[in-house]
Amino acid sequence: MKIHKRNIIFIIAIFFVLLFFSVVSILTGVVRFSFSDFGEIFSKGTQTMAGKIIFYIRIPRLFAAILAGAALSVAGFLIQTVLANPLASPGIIGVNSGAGLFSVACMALFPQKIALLPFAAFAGGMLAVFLVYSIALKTGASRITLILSGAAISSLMSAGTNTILTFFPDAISSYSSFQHGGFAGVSINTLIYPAAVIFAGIFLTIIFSAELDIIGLGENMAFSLGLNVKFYRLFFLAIASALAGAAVSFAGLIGFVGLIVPHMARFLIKGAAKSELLPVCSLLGAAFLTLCDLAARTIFSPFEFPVGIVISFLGVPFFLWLLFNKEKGELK
Amino acid sequence: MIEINHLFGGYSSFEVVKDVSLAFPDGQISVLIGPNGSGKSTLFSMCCGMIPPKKGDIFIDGKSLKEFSRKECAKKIAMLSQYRAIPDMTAERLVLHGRFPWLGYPRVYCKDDITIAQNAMERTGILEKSKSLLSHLSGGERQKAYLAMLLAQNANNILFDEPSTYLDISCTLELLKILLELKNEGKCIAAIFHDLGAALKIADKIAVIKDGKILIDAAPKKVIKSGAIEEAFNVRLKLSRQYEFCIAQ
Repeated sequence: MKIHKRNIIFIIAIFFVLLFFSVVSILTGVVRFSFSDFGEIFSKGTQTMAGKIIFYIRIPRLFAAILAGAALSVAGFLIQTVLANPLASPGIIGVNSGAGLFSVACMALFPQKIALLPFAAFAGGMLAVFLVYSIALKTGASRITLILSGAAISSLMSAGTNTILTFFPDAISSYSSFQHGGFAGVSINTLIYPAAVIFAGIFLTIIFSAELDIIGLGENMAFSLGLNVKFYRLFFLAIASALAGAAVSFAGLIGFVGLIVPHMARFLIKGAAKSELLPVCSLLGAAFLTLCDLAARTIFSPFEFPVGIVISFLGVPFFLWLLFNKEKGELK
Repeated sequence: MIEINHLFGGYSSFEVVKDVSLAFPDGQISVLIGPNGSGKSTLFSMCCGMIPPKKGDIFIDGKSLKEFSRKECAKKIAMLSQYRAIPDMTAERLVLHGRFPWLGYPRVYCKDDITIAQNAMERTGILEKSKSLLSHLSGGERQKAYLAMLLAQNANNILFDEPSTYLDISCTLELLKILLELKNEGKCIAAIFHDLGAALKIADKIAVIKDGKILIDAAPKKVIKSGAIEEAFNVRLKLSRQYEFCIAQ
């Protein structure tokens, strides 16, 4: 797991970009704060209004954006590598919808059990990914087939979510916010369990990044190099489901992050090993979603709209660009 | 050495390989020829454990394939697949991946691994382009990078599934030269060729396969005389002159 100097510089640079966005995100919003307001938190804690807003609203929201951005980006990176499909992402192949269905079911049936949420979301994500993968295998496993089966499964899962919400309308606080994805109303308490899952998932992915590199060579080549392809494919898809599920459990159905960010990371450090790409991918995803959330909160301030809408405005053109500009052979 | 005994197998209910018995000895180039869909690639995939046999057995250097772990198997047998991805990595990194079966955790390449990879790249003539991305290389150069990866894997038994596809004549000759060198080092080389001329020239023995069954497994001259090639491909074979390859140094 050797990391090149040039790529270490990239990782540090992206970390500072994330730090910058984080500070701006904490200080900017409907109410703007100065650095001195921010400094007062350390002396006066939550006694001031600024302290209360920053501590109970801005910081949990920032952490939510960072966690969801990193989780969805790494999940997308894993799915694109394992399925050898540059168009795949947790949103596009139905992982998010599956996680959403199980999250809503969990909130409807066990409203008090917050700890169950990331695990329910993981189960839903896994179910979706394996349904999609089995369908694609049965029907020829072309890359476009995979996307189409993802769209079909995604619709089915969304229909399931809507059915549950018809019978349990109070299961989630805001349907619109869940459907498009957003961080309004998140608290530190709701982030603890998903954060544990996300840290564990990213850590495991980095530990096994050499195996991920080998899987990226294609099934036959990976097998010839002695990799237990079936096991590792399942392993990485399970991690991707856990990461996407954990993000969906508190952020709702945020799409396209898992599609856009891995491509950005690969563009920034071309030809890098997965051990180098994964930190870049997670930091870039965190910075990207922090920036998108900032835009969602401030563009039409004092009105705010779900961050998922901002990302869709960026993601759909990007998806179409990929479809039209990638070499034809890569997408068949 | 690879020995195949009464092997049956294929995909789910579809049996592709039917009662195949063959041997690919050390220090020889064994070539498998046959029409499309005759079971050549399936047989190779079974030889390296990718497709489990329904019946029969495969022995690698005298030990049953079933007794090998995945990693042990990769140290004994390497395969250059017909379909090769173009992953986002440099040629050097691809070649280093050839050392994967030999790595323990935490998967750090030691000096020896790097030296082996460098030598493999030098041998296949890709060392100058080692820092280039695979997507920036020509088809022939990519093939050389994959070949170097295979050499870095350092397995005694090497299977090549249509290695000369998409290669121009110069690259094909360079490839054949490396196959001959590997043979002279005592390695067991088995290859699938669609180019009958190249197959007849380079092979120590040729097996003709049709509909999953071996029609003949013998020296090239004997195979030509047997009429098995005509039977397999449904063509008339006319040898008007001897194929001669000039392998440049």
